[in-house]
Amino acid sequence: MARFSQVNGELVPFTSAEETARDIEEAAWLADTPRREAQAVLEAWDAKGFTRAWESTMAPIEAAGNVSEYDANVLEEKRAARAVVVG
Amino acid sequence: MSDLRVNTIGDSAGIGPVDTLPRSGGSAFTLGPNWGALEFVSGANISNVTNIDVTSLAVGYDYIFSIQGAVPENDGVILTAQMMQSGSALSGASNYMDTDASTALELIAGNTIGNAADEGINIDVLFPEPNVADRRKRLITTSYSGAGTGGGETGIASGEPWGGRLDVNINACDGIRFLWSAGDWQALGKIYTFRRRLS
Repeated sequence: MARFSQVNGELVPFTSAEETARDIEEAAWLADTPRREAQAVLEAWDAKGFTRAWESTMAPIEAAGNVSEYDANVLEEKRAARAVVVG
Repeated sequence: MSDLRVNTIGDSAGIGPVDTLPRSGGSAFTLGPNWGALEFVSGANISNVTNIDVTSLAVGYDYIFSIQGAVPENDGVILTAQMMQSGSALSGASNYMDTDASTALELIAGNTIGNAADEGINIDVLFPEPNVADRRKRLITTSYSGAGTGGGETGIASGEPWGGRLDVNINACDGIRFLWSAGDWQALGKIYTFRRRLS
């Protein structure tokens, strides 16, 4: 599908070079979607106080087998997300 | 009824716009842009395009772009902008800096916009003194409200005002391009351009 720019209200078709460049930009954005979504998961947990510092305080509790089911789920979700972000 | 004369008001150059307000109606008399008010520049319906460009930004003004009722074609995308120099948009890999080096500036922090009829975005973006040489250029999102996938609203209260800087150089800019991180604009909404004089 041919793309257009709207320049001061007037429609201007893309050149072939612009089409190619935009294809590359969009492919890069879409390929990066899993990382962005994983980053959003980490930031959402951080905003709720489940930060890296919280994870550190949980380490001995987890090692002792005393972590609650809720906290275990948070830890699991954060680890899975971090694995995607780090790659 | 007498005329209200404004012939003692002068502009910054000392050349007074001597004129007389019409007794009634009429559109011949217009207050110039010298009195601190925003000046309307243009308004255009948004078409089904990839880029929305506003070019020919003049020297001596800040510009405010107001995008109202716009909706992306793709779901879950970010609204971005690129600055233009000599009529060409700057789109190099590290031309801009917001949270990281990028090809375009993200205008909404950490929020994506949905493509359903009740989603989309209303946003105002300030471009301070674009057409001046030798100063760093930034875009500043001054207000917005938008809805991501699922229809929940986010905006200045829950998201962050955002923007960022042109990193590749500090040269004068003469235009701006608005584009989504992927996909096109739906043919919905309108883009308005206003400016305020810097002298």
